[in-house]
Amino acid sequence: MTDELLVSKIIEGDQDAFKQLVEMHQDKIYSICLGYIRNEEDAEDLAQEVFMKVFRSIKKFNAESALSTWVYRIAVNKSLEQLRRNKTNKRFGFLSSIFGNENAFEKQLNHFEHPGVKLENKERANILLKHMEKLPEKQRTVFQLHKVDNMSYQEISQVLHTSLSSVESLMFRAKKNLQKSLRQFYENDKS
Amino acid sequence: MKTDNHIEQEIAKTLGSLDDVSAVKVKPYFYTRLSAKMQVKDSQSARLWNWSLAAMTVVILVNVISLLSLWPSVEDTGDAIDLMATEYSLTQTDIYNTTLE
Repeated sequence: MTDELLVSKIIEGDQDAFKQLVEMHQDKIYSICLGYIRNEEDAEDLAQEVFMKVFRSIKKFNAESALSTWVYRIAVNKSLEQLRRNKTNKRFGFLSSIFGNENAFEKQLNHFEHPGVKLENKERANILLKHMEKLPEKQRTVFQLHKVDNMSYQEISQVLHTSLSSVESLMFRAKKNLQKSLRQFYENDKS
Repeated sequence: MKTDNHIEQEIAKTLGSLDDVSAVKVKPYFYTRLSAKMQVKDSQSARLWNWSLAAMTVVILVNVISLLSLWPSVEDTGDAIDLMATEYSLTQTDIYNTTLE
């Protein structure tokens, strides 16, 4: 079924068409959300929010890009919104830390292990994921979509509505910043 | 003690640790949970809409009732004018009846 046909069926209220769209993209959307939120339950809630947003705004889909690209873009935007909200909560979370309660967002970042990472890489991947937190939003998004969600630079440029060269540049800067941050980490570890 | 060369190796290995991440999958029955959540949200928004409509109707009714009870009737208006005319001796407009001498 083509994107246009699927979209028109969903607009007509065809539940099976919507189910088909969900089943086609649910794993990828969940993976994107998990990459940002780093908590399996919260990521599933966010993935549900993404599909609800897709359902509500399907009429706005103008077929400029593939349906999958449009859905992934919604997932990235929703994840970034949620991440900003979590960071705001984290800023005000110092009050609870005074009283001895570890901030929930901080806690899930510290104890998160990505389920897709191989056992032998878990420790290193956790270090890398923590250092990715320090990257500026765009660099982090590009690095994550490429490394964790296995998207090509071309796909990323379509999802983020930006040029291919811009994606390459963001990826280059992300790697440089991560190298710098990891070097500091391992040097401190050395001393 | 780690040498600089060793640190560079560590960095390279850590940067490559996400290279072979396998695709993650949602838990089974994701669509069932999603459609249940959508139904709950729909009924919540319908309930919210009904409450807003009811509240708006009550506000409009209260306004209409207050307006009707405070609006002076025609008779009342007449009385008030008469009263004011008497008070300011405006009952006779005989200025036009006086003749010039």
